[in-house]
Amino acid sequence: MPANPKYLNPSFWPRFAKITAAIIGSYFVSISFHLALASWFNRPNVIITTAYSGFIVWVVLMVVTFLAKSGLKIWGLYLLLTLFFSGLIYAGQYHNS
Amino acid sequence: MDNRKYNILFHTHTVSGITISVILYVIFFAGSFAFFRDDINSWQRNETAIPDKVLHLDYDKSLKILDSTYVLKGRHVWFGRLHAERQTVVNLEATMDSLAPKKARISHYLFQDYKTYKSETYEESYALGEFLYRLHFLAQIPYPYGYYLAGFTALFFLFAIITGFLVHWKKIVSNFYVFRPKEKLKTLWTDSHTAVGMIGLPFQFVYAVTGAFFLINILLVAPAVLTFYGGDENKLYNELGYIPTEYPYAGKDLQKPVSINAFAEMAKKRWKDFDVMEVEIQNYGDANMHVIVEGAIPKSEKFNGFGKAVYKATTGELVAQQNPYAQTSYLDGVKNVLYRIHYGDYAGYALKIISFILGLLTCFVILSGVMLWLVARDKKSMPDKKKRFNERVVKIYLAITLSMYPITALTFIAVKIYPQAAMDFIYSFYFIGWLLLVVAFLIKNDYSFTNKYCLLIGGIAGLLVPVVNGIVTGNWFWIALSRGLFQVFFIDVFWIVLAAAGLFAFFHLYKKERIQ
Repeated sequence: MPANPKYLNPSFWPRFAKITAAIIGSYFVSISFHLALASWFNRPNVIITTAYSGFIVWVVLMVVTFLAKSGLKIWGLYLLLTLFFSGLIYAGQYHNS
Repeated sequence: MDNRKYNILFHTHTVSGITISVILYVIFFAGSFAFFRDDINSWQRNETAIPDKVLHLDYDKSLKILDSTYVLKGRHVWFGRLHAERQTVVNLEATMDSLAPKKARISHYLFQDYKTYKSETYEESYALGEFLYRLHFLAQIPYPYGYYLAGFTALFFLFAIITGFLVHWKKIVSNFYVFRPKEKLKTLWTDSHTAVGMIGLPFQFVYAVTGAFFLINILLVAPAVLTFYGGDENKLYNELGYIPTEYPYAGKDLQKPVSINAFAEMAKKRWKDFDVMEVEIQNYGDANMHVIVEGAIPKSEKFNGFGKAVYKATTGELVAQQNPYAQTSYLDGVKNVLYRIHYGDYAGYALKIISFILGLLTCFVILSGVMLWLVARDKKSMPDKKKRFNERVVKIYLAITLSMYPITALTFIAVKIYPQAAMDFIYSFYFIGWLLLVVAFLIKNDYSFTNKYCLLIGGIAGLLVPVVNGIVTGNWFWIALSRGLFQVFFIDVFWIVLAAAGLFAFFHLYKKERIQ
């Protein structure tokens, strides 16, 4: 019953890219997404929501990462998303301060 | 779901599960006992307390006694009944009075008995309930490593829950009714892992998320503090309402003495059914002394019904208040709910017992997962070397996890035989005893032996817990009940039921082996 290895990443680097994207990349996306929300909407409420949704989004993205075809591509996507959300944070702070 | 996705999810579920399994078992096993933390502490001290978090204190008497030992002038004094024990937590901050004697400059965190008014330090009050409670977030490993290890275990547990759920998604309904314990070993492990895992799923989800929040919230807090609050975390906690208002120290003496009892009574009468749970006195004995009374209305009335009244001591004027019957803000609601759903302390013993059972079932899900992992790899195609390695891993896992049951039971006996048992004794007895059991089982090198004898030793020791307690203290559980020592009675009976269940499992296994 162990998983059929033909669907798994065999070599080191693709595997490494996926695992780091799952743990670190997903964290960046989850945090920047929540901070972007916090910079535009009711800040204390969004931050206290992050107390639980921060972890849930992080872990759901972890799962999604492993389903992706390429570890490098998903890293690229996560970095772009993080950059986009960071832009929103910056704009939100500029606009709302 | 296509084959590729299914296999990936299946594999990540296996790897994450196997990696965290031992630590997760320790967390859930100790955590299950932690639901009864306060009862265990009271049981060890051979006493009982009113089972609530309400302050039952004569504040004026308490303050007088504390003042004679610690000098309260210019301090902030905080009372809270954090646990359903006789001990009230008293926090004394260092004085702000520059002329106060030296000993007023030392802060203290004390536990004061609401019946005898005797104070103890944290170390003096340390008992087995506290030990098991702290073991469930690995606090015995130096801070912050134990906390972080437990926190990340919770995080990856959430990952294992979600992947496990997705893997079984299609088969949930059909498989729930499939239980083939007699078919063969593998189907026993598969079916029980799936069925019991599904029953516990909502419970486990809640504990994974809140557990991660308690232990590694720094990962969420730090980026928010850097982004919005210029690196000053106090600003964040202030905005979230965690930091109480500070009233400045006037530096002038309070002219006529005031009664804290009167203020607490005033707050209690303000709202119907209001219970006082925390009292803070700022600037004790100063002209700007303030009394902050906090509490709640019964949970059956309103789940998030906390209230607060702040009085200026000199005039008795109500400076600020929060009405427990008013609409609770979303912020306050979440802050409270995150704790309540983890502690399971909002619906009496019934909820705690259910939570305890679900906690132990989770331990079973973890172990059946490990067994499943082993059995699924026990195939002809698998090289012998790898098979032996897998078996070795499982033997070590089982020796560590299963021996928690007997050593926990034995420690309950030990603290009764040696009534002076404090922190050092509990640490050494539990951890050294645990290690010895693990080593003995590893030498014996047979996991069905480990399983059976853990059940047997734990069962016998568990049945002896109420006996030893009866002999040492004279409070046999029926006497304890007639004397009103409910917490003593409860833990004794709790062990009888738990040990009986364990022994039943042992004899069942024994009989089955005899037949074969």
